[in-house]
Amino acid sequence: MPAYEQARLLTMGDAALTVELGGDIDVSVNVRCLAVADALDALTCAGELSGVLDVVPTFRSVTVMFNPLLIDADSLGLTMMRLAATAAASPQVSRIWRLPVCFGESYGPDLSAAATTVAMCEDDLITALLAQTLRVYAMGFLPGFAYLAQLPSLLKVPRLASPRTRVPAQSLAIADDMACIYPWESPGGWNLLGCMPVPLFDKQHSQAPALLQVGDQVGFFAVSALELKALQRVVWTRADVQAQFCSEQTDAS
Amino acid sequence: MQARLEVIGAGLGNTLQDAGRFGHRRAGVPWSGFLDQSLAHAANALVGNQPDVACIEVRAAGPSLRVLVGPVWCAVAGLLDCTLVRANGLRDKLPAWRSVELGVGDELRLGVASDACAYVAISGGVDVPQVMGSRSTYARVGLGGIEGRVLSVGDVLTTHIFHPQAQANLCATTDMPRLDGAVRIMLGPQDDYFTDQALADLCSHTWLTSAAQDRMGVRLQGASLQHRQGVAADIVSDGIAPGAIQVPASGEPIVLLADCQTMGGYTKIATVISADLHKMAHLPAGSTCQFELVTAAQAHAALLDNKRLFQQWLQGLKPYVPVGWVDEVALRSTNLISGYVNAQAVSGEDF
Repeated sequence: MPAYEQARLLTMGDAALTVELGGDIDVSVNVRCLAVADALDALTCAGELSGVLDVVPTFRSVTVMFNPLLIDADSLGLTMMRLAATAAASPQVSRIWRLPVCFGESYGPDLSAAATTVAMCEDDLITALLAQTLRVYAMGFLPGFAYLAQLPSLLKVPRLASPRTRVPAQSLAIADDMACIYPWESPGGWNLLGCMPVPLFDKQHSQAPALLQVGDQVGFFAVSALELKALQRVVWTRADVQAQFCSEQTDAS
Repeated sequence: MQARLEVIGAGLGNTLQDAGRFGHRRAGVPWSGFLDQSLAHAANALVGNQPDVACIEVRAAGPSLRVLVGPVWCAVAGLLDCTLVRANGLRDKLPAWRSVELGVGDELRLGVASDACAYVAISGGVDVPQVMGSRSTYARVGLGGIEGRVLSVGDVLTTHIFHPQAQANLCATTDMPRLDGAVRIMLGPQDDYFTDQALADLCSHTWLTSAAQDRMGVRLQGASLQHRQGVAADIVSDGIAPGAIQVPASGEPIVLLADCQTMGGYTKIATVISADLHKMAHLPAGSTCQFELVTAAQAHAALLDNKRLFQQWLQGLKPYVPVGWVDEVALRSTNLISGYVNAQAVSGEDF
């Protein structure tokens, strides 16, 4: 049962509340989480929730962080529960990204092992992955880091038994039913398949520093090592990235 | 005017911090900011700054600074030794809780923060570019501060414009009240994942802090908090906040701090209340701490208590007279300057 009949309100100290809409990773739950987060952001922007500092939608819940001297936690909790019960996903504009990836070689040291795990040759694994369009279910872990799901079961590869202490920035990786791209060098335990050279985080773009946001759809296309080098030399502006790799479509569901 | 100070000794892990970077957790950006807000506010107050301007957070060995353009006022809040070396070679100890005026060539040499968190404020506040609304350093990915990193030798700290005549020599009449005692927590958000024994152990054990700590979190040792049978130790990743006490399958809790990531998949047994979160910044490796369970109402009262205590401390700030100066206040109060005492009162009432 992915969606709860009634949302659960969880207390995280005196300055944060989480409203949980479901137990598992599920697209309809995630769509509702986004709607609740957007509604909370709208109320905050309208000045009706002064004291709210951050609203964070995740896979199946929304966390609100607030200044407890400025807003009463009980009334905020009631608002969150009300929105969880009523906020419906309105037809939304999905952004669809097609991002370039150079697979294998030094960029994807785990490609070969991952292919063995799923009993495919490397090319078939790449083809199967390129056929996927994945939803951004959550942003977090690192600035600009997107959790992309869900991969079909034939592409499921478990996490590495022992995580790497250093994963290069721009690595495309998979683990279980998720994919991700590391925006920064970081420790990590996912299987590295390739390199995605488009910047995922731009601190100058302070209204929306992360390229991706919850609800976006992300797919990939393959580029050669030579094309990768050329793409890595580009000094990208956000407008260029959007023009080249993003299209929008109204989602009527 | 704007002052400039050069970093002539880097120390270890010193960062510029302000109130923090809010509103970007949705993009995965943590808050960062002061680990001990009251202490930072105190340092800033001592040099006449607004509470939330950027100052230096010292967690281990503090930096050494030399004034390139002055005068400038500096103050230390917290347990941090400081030696003042004047341009003429005279040396003096600068006690915490008072400001000092520095001229060109004067040096401030900071020692070790003996309880792992202290602040050095500079009049005007340190001016570095704001990144997403904050000057706080988030070194993990290089945001804020100076080039997103800890202070290093050769960095020059430029202050905002300030008015030298407005910067009083201030000192506190008392040290900031230190709220010792147990760290107060509220259960949740995932307390239902733990055994009754784990919930009891959390508050009955004396926890030892390990060397595995930074601005993201503090790992504690002392007991293994068990998850209930048949319940996974990990959850579908959800939002996490500073103060949350996450417990991986190993059972050793980690208390999250200002630089903690925005989402995580470990269960969180309880959360440190905001009034007490600063205590977690003052536990160098090998320190002990205990937790005490409180209600939401008690957490709220504790926050109001903190605020009141800080206001009381702030009201105790008074100008002081540097050694060798004529103490005008004393002269006035003993009426040694004939006719002076009532001059202000007269001018206020009669004209």
